[in-house]
Order: sequence, then C-alpha cells, then structure tokens
Amino acid sequence: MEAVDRAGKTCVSNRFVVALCVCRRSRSYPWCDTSHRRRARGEERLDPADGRGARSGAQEEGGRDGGDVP
Amino acid sequence: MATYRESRALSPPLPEARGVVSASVCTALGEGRAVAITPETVAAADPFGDDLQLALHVLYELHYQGFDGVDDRREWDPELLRLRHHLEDRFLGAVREAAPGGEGDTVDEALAGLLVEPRGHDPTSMTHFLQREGTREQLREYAALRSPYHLKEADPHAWVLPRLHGRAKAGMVAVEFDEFGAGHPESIHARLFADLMADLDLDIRYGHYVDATPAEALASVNLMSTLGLHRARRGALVGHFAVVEVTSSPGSRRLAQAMRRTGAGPAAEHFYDEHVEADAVHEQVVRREVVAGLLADEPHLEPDVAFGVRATVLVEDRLAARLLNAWRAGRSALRRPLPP
Repeated sequence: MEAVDRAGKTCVSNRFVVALCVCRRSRSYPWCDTSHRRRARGEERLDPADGRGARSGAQEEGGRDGGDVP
Repeated sequence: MATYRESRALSPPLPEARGVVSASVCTALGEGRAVAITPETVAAADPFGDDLQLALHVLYELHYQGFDGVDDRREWDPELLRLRHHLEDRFLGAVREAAPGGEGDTVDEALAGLLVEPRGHDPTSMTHFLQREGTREQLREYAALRSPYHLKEADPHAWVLPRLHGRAKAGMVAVEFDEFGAGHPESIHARLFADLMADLDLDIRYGHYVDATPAEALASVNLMSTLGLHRARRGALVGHFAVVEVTSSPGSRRLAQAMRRTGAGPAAEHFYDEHVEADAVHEQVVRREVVAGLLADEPHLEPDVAFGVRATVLVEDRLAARLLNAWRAGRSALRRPLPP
C-alpha cells in the first residue's frame, strides 16, 4: 500500500491493513498513531467517554489495503 | 550486533521458590515426584503475592517452554492441573472482587476510559514517568521484568485461535500474523524485544530474569495465560487483547522517546517505534473485527469481554503502582537489582 502526501512524498506500508491519519495530528503521518484520541485530565482518565471513542470520533479510520488511498 | 542467538533455544532452569506453594511445585517438578499440597494451603496464600504468582507462572511455563531437567509430559500431569485450577480460582476470584462490573456491564463502557488520553502529564502512568525522567537503569529494569511476556509476545493470545470462528478468527489471526513477523523470523516481536534487551546489555536467555521479576509483573502474564488456556474464558481473553492493543500505541510512543533520550540504541528504539504504528492498526482490527465479530456471534459473552478489560486494567495498574513507588523512592523495582 502506498500513500502520497501533499508534498508528493510516497510512503509505503506492507501491513495487512493500514490506518490512515485524517486528523493531521499523527507524528507518523500519513499513518495513524492514535493522536486523534480525546484528551482529558489525568484524574478523568477512567471516566467513560461517549460511545466508541475513535469510532464515534470518526477522525481516524482503519482501511483495508487498496481502500481510501490518496 | 553479533549473530542472533535464539532466546528460546534452551529451556531455563526452574526458578527459586518464594513460599510453600511455589516450593511444592518446584520440588515436584525438579525431583520428578507428585505434587503434595492441601487446598487449605492454597486458600491461605495471598492471591496477588509472590508465592502464588510464581507457582502459577511455573505451571503455565510447562505449556510454553518447559524447564531444563523437567519431563515435558508434566504439562498434562493431572495433579499439577488440579493444583493449577485451585490457584486460578483464587487469583481470578480476587481479581473479580477488586474489579467488579456494574449493572449492564458493556464492553464500550469498559474500554471507553482507555480511549481517552490524559492532557499533559499523568502521574499515575509508568510510561509517562519513563518518558520524562526514566534513567537507563530503570529502563533496563522495565525490560527485564517485562521479558517473561515480551520474549513470548502474543503467544498467550494464540491459544484462543481454535476457539474463535468467522470474523473474530480472521481478525485475530491477522493481528497475530503481524505479531509473529508476517513471515519474517527477524521481525517476530519477541525477537525485536530480544534485540532491545541486547541494546540494554541484558541477558536475552528466556526465563533469565524470572527470579528478579516482582509478583505484579508475573500476575500480568499469568492473567493472559489463564484466559488463553481456557476456552470458557475466550471472551475475557479477547477483552485482554483489546486493552493491550488500545493502550499500546501511545504508551509505546512514550517508551520510544525514553529509549531515544537515554541513548539506549537503535533496536531499543525500533521495538517501541514499531508498536506505535502497528498497534494503531491492531486496535482498529481488534475492536471492529475481533470484539465486534465475537459479540455478533456470541452476544452472551459481553460481560466476559468486559471482565477481561477490567481485569487487565487492574493488573496493569497494580504493576504500575509497584514500579512507580520503587523508582520514586530511588529503589530498584526488581526483587534483586540487576548486575551493572
């Protein structure tokens, strides 16, 4: 799977599924590094979040190879 | 780096006993005799303590790597299995008591807290501590006490494969394939960890640091083994795997930074860098395919999956507390300090 970023650089992943960053916060861009997660203070860490976190936040999606490739 | 010598080329010697229960197990195995211990003795053992956790560790290792000088057939010794059953009941009973589920216990609720990252520094997090101020010595201790797991990384979860089918199985196998190097032995995560240990001047031989490993770290691996080895606990095993994959990515980012800051070496950095990206993918597959797939087929397992999540958080939090208490007090977190 190849992803081309805005600067035209091609990044290659050989994983069976890739998670593409669409929140632009990843430090491993264009791949997801879970930086999209909601932030809370330390003591709020174990409070239930709304729904399914990344699923309801919908900022990152795992895609099968050949899926939403730029 | 010199030619790689497989960490699991040999079986380790039996560890040193830590009390009456582990002594009876080690003696029975070492001397080729039947195990002799009463249920009353097991009932009196601290379920989270060194003695019970080491006894469980030794009994589970018969299913993984065995011990030097111990007959491999002891893996299925009915008396040892009977004792293991009592020890597991004691351990899991205590875990259930310490991490009870609420009314209408759902997996989403159990996982929700893990999908939120703390804003800024989390003083209760071991990886936050290591990222900010961990010394090379503390990183060496961390690697040593995690080695009973990482030198067989993903093996405890492989036990669940024949118990799954359909979406859950396909997802689980795909993630495990990645953990086992995707066809490349030099990329097996256990091998990447052995390379990390070599960078930190640690002995990579399997089982070498068990005597130094505190009960809380043995409990972390024992939990995976007990959930993996019982088909009845397949839901909880999947819950365990979900916690591992959900929490790994941000934690690995912090540990990679700790390795870079202390100049640990390229393999030490690579082990955690690889887990940042790999586990961001694994998290999605585990939640969408493995957890959701299992619950679509077997909805009655939802409380078990939620229990697996809570149990894992409990056991990992206990380990984090032990390590942070020791390191903040300037002490070794191990049962005996590492040779320099």
